Amino acid sequence: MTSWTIDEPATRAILDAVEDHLSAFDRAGSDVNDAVGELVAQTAGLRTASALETFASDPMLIGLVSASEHAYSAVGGTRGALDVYVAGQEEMAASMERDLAPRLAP
Amino acid sequence: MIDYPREIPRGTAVQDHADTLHDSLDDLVETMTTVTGRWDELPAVYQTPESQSVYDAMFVPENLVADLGLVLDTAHTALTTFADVLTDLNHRRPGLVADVDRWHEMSPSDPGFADFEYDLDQRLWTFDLDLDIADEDCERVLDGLRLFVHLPLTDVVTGLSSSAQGVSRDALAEYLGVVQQRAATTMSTTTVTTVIDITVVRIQDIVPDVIRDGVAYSETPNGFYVPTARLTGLQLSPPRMVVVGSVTITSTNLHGALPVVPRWARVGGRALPVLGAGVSFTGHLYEHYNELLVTEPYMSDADRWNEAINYALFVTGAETAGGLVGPVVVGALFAVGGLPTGPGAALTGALGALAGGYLGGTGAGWLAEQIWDWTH
Repeated sequence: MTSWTIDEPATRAILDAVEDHLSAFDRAGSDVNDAVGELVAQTAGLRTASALETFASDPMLIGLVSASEHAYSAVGGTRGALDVYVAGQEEMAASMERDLAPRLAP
Repeated sequence: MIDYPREIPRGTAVQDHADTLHDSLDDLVETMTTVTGRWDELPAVYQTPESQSVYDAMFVPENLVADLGLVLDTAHTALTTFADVLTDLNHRRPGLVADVDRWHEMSPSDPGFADFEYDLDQRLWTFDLDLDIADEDCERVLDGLRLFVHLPLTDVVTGLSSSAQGVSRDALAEYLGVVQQRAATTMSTTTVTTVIDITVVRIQDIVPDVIRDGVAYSETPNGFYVPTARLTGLQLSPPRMVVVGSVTITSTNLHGALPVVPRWARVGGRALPVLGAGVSFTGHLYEHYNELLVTEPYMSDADRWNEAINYALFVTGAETAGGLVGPVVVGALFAVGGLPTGPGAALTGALGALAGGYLGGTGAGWLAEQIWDWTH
């Protein structure tokens, strides 16, 4: 294991600040839900209404939940890795970090 | 007989709500800018051998939010076009109503009746057609905005477990490798957290890769073959895999027998076909783990878990291949994942409730409550 340098208070401050912001995902989900609900009521009986219901789910809600999951995982996973580093368990910390890597298809 | 023209939604109301929808992510987009700004401060204070993964960890949410913004722009444009047509139709409608009234008051023997009737009939037909065309145009645009491929659990499991059916053997190996690797990484603590990621992928190019028994299949980025007809795509960015969620199974007692069916699944499992596979998987996993405790007393716990996972994957695959029609992986994910604890806490908020409602019907919402109870 090679060396690591962590300013623990500064790192924690960033993680805390980021996490405080993530409730925006919840608000966005509610807003999308409300707006689509109104649109569906307005267009009841038309094809657009059912397309809107699907749209609310995919891409909007699935996308929001997915993004939210990743964002919270980024904070939680980093915090976990930080804890483990501070506790001196470097292999485990590195493994936790690797788990955070975005899974992008080639 | 001539009917009155249909009632038409108010274009201004549709426009207003479309505008609200369009603005629904404004706050989030701004927040993500702040978030990524703060996240980018990490390299200055947090340097470790694997820290690049940490630095990159906000890419997915950042890109997804950006994509959703683009999607909303397109949806807004379609809805605006639709609203304009609705406004136009509402302007035309009173004249048509008045003429239908007049037609009712006329007698076929009146001079010009036949021409009047023919003309009115044509205008009513055009009125209906204009509404239908605008409605279908709007529908088509909205439908085209799907970003996620919903893989029925049957396809995923078939893709995983069935080289006999001609689908990806490599995918199976790779998937199990991932499962084992992830299981192994979390095996060293007294709390066992076995994470099975089920992925929902987004596809850019929808081209059949293979035709089998007359059905076109496309290979997804993670190697599964799914019927091409099921795929929809959007040219936003290169295809990529997005791990939407996970099935998380936890036990706080590594060395004891596990409950065969988790408490939350006991009542809901049977009644909720969407969740059936996940529940079934969990049941098989626990059951087999318990068997191994007895039959393989000298096996390491990590190996025991790995074998139980493999067993459960295959058995669940066999069960679901015949039974489940329609349930999509994303639906199972949110409901089955033990997400209310830890990093997944986001799902317990309004978003979680919405996801449960949309993706799994009211049953998933009910189950989400059970999971909440279970984990608290």
